[in-house]
Amino acid sequence: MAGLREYIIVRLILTPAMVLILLTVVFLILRVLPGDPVRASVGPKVPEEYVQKIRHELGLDKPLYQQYIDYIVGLLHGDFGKSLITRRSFKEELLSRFAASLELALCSMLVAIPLGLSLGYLGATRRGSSLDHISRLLGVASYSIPVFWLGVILQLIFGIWLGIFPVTGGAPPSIKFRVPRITGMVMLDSLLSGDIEAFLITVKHMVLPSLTLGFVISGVINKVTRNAMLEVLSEDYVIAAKARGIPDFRIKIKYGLRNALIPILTIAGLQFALLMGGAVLTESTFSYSGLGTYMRDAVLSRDYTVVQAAVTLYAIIVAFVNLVVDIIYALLDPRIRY
Amino acid sequence: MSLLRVNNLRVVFETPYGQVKAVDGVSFEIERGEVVGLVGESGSGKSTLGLSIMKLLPPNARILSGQVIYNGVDLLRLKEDELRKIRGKEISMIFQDPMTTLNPTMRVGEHIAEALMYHYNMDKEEAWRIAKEVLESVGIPAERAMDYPHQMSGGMRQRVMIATAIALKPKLIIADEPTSALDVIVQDHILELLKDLRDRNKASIILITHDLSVTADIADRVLIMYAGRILEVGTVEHIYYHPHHPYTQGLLKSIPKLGSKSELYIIPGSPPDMTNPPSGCRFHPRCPYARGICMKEAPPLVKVEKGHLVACWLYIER
Amino acid sequence: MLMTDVLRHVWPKRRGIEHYMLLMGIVIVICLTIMALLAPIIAPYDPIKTYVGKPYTPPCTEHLFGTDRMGRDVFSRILWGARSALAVASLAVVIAAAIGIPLGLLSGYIGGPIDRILSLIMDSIYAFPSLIMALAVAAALNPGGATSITSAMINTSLAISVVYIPSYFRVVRATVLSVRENLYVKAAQALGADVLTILTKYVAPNSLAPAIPIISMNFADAILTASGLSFLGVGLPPYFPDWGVDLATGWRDLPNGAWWMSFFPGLMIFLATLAFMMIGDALNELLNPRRGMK
Repeated sequence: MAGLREYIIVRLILTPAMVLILLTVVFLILRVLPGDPVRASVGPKVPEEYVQKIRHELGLDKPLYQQYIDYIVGLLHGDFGKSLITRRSFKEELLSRFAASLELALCSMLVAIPLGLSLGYLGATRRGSSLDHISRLLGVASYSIPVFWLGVILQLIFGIWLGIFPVTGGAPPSIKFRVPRITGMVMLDSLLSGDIEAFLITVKHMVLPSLTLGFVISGVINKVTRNAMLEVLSEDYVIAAKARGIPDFRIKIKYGLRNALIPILTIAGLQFALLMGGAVLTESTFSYSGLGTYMRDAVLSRDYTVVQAAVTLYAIIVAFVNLVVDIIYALLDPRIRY
Repeated sequence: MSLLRVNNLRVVFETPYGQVKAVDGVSFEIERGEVVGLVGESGSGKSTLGLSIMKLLPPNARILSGQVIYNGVDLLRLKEDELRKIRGKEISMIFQDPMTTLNPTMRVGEHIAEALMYHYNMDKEEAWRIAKEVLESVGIPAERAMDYPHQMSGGMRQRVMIATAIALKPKLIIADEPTSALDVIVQDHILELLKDLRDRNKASIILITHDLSVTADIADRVLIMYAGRILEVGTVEHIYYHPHHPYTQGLLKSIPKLGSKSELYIIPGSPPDMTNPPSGCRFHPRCPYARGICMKEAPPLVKVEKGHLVACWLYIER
Repeated sequence: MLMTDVLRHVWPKRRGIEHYMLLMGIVIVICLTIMALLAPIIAPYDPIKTYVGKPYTPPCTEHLFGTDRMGRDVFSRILWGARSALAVASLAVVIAAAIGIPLGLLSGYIGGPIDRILSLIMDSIYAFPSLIMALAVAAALNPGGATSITSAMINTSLAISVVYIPSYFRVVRATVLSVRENLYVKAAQALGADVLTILTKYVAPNSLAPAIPIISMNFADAILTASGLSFLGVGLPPYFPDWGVDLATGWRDLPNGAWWMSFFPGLMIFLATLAFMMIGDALNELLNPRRGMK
């Protein structure tokens, strides 16, 4: 058993390795596969000399390994390269989209974690009851339901039929201009600048997308919680605690949930990837201006540098979240801690 | 009135392969301050019997019939919150594997302190103070109370388990194979501790074990269990020097003796399949003396001398 | 284990909710397969032909699930959509298994630095959001711009399959690590059998069982991801009868109140995913001996 420090050091080394691997895989897929990205982006009618000029401008006429090195070096300097379409740096746009996506992810977690934890907890502690069956059904439904379909249904019911919430997600442009940019997350920024009205309007626009994505993610948390709780509640130390006359609620929390949290956190943390994937579809469904829609548009317009930058950013988030989860895991489990 | 009386207890497990009759009509009693050894092979239902006394059976178990009368009250009829007041405080339990019976994310002292807090409404400070005292009484330095279970050896953890079981001074302690998961030397320490407990606290102890020899110098009486039934009951002298049941005789012969050159005896055959147990006397397929009646009818427990009961057709006049 | 023992294990006298989930999943999958196979016969209209009914007709007796903005019959398109859903998903799963399983066998058997590097790569892809990876690969393969339906379907499958390779790799490799320690493998090595023989004859047959529930889970995920790609507009071309494509078209007409255009395709994606998910989940529970005992 390694000490906590060594454990974290190993994780710290593996995290950039993971990002690098993902970058390389995507770089290879985008650059090596047949087809000329520049030609594809400008269309067949543009004369060859012009295409050559663009290639030179973007450094795409260099040998592949040189392009790869340039790209990595650029990234280390915080440079994502230039867009194939606009031929300008797009870092600003990328980061503001990223902040918007992060805001959606966090809001969805606010829905997913309480929903998933409580459903899983109730299911496990009342195993075999109708509540357990409902919780399991909701669980299976939530990870089988196409997130965009759920979004469409919610839009139809709450947006079109009832008219309670807007069908578009995220802060409307007027609000975005009004609120000073501090973190890039409009809800947070409007609060920080004391603009309550802007905050409320943004919240209203966040409800449906967060519910949609949150429900989908809650399924995994629900399932993991239920399984982990069942596993833990059948442990010997739970029976031993009952034999000591410890009250039920204390056993369920201090012996059950406390120990179940360790596997819940690891598995649920790994599902962060699912959240990011679901976010792309949710953003699309609610015309939410985030990293997901940005990447989709880049794919549709064949802007490969932007696609690659988006993937890089996603890789960094996923690797970072994995690292954080690992560290929290180590903190939660005294067997690793000491 | 005896401290605990079990009357005709029958417990089954529902499994995917059918119903398992784990405890099949068991009756016995324990006096105050008495130590009773409950001996049987694994699967004989001895652990189930221990768990049913505290009504801690797993969800797939069902109690078909019987009574567990403690101080005049049938525990099987009590509600969960009434039982909770008895568990730990009146009757406590020591489990086999100290590696798995302590909460890995809780300090060892808290295992004891929380029980004190819930049963006596003690404040935290006092509960911890007593917890440390109890730990010291089983030979664990008070400062180790802040350790997590994984920081302790198996023997130390079993001492902690014993401390949790005696902290509330219960009148009955059920010790389910308390030494089998431990090294031989540690086993002796734990047994010494149990003896000490019997003398100091005047507690009754049910010592559940598969190893007849463990009971020799601690038990007053021994119950021999096989396939969910009691085959023989007697004082240690009865069981060791005058075993009547062929199974008990077999068990005794299979204890290794120091200096003995003869090969170790093994009871022929294998433990019965409990989803489909043998008819009549459960032991008849492995019994050298089996007769026709043994296959047809189960023998009742009959007295062969004072305090010595045997369930075997060999001792019943027909 | 005899076949009857396996059956008794999977379908015993006392059944839990898993058994009914398995049964329900299988029934839905069979229905979907029939739909896909018989679509040309049972579909009341040509799925691509426009104006077989009035545009935006709500569900009625002539058009069970209504018509879309071009007057195409939604019900017929859904029947045909089962074809593309199952075809794309099966192709993706087959490709992923065909690459992931041999790689996992080899990597686990050889061990050493190659195994470590491969594992790191596979783990990285595994941890990455599958839809985003598929989206990136789709950007390179461009199925939406493919010249024919077949190549569009193949390109979509390829884009999806990349993300499932690690699932097979990981589970097969993990089993190989324990299987290769078995005496019969050691014996074969001692007798001088070559790597290929050992892998195909001794290691593979004993390492593939854990991959079975994964196939079903991947099927479910592949259906979701494929329809997701189509919904985003980077999957199958817009006129093609496909649940994801239809859902995307229907979504654009949502403000007109034409809910049926997006509701039914989405429901189909949901049911198909649910079915495979239930089968995989149930198999996982039932084939896992530790769970089975509880």
